[in-house]
Amino acid sequence: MGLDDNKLVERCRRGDHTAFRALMERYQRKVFALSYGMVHNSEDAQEMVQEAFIKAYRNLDRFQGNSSFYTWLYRISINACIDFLRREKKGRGNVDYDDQIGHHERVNESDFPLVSSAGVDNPGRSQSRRELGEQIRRAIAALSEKHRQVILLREVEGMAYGEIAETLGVAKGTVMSRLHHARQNLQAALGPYVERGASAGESDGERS
Amino acid sequence: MKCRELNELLGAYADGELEKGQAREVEAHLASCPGCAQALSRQRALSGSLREAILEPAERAAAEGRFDTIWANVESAIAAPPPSLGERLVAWWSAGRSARSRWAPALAAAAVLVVVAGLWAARSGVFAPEGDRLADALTTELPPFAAPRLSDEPVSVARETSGDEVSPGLPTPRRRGPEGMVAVNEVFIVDYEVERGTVIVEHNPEEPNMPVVVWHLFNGDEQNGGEESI
Repeated sequence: MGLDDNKLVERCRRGDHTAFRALMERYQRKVFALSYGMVHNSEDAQEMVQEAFIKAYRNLDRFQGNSSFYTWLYRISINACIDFLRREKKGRGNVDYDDQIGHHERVNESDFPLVSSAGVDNPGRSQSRRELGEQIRRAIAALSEKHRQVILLREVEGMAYGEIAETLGVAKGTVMSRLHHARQNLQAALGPYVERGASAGESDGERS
Repeated sequence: MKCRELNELLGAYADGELEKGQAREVEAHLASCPGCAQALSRQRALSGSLREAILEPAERAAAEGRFDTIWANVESAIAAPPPSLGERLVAWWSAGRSARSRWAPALAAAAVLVVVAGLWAARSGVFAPEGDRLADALTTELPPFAAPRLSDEPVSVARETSGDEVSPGLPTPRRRGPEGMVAVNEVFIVDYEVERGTVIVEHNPEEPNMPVVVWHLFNGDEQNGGEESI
């Protein structure tokens, strides 16, 4: 549907705001999800989405078209979040969580053992879908920043390793090993939940 | 192939990122090892749940109408002419002002903060034409503003910004003259609640429209530094 990204970018460069809106509509949810994964609350994620798109628009001339528009956009978005987090850390030393679970046990990014910080203490109780989502987001929040970035890019966009490498400016092998470790950590924290979810939700066979 | 080796490749296999030969080895192992086959389905289940959990806040945002607000804000921002470097610097400074001053107690009110907005001529003269506007902006937004003092002899600073820390190449106040501050070609001094410090606007060759601001502030024994693109 619609024009491809590069055609839209070309129109934007000529000052066509509707073309830019089309690009935003195409990517805003993913950029929001990515930002939320980095900053952990909706207000800040909204700020980050705005900032990323405004920066992207102002720098469209710089976008060469050698890489895809979205790897470029995601890089801007991740950098905006990283800057924001550094700023916040200096100001307050901690992040705010939107999610309803465990406000009392804030996660201090990388220091806490994953299992306890993700609050995986009672896998036997019944989990609503939403609660599971919150557990997962907390477990992602407990990853190191580098692991979090690769997981978000891989799962939000299904990006190929080469694209993730390009977005983050690291080698492909680095992407592969970070993903491996990130997933191991997540599995350690979430294993019981995810398996229950999987057996309940995917009894009709494996998704590819 | 041993189970342990396979374990390291499983993710890449599930993502379709292995070379053909390697993928075939993995498949051969999986066919004869129920444990690893189970690990693969766990991995796939995890991926599915992750994706859903990551995207859920965006769905919620859509339901709350956040994307309309976002578009309205973006549209008005891009309709306006892009802010000058000076305006951006002021906005950046003001936004982070409380965060940056938190570490510096108010008792230092009488102390002088020195802000050096140095334009990095060592890299290129890209921002030089904006020098006056920068001075104007700082005068309006960050009073009181002392007359800029320029060093006779520009200090050339060889420094790359990479990594997380303010790198040691950043000029320290010790290295400057009696007026305290030297930047490459422009220096501004402003009263503020820290004793001294530098703010350098650095040309970023990859993103010329997104200069990097590097700051390094001192108050007594305390220091605060960092960098971000604006």
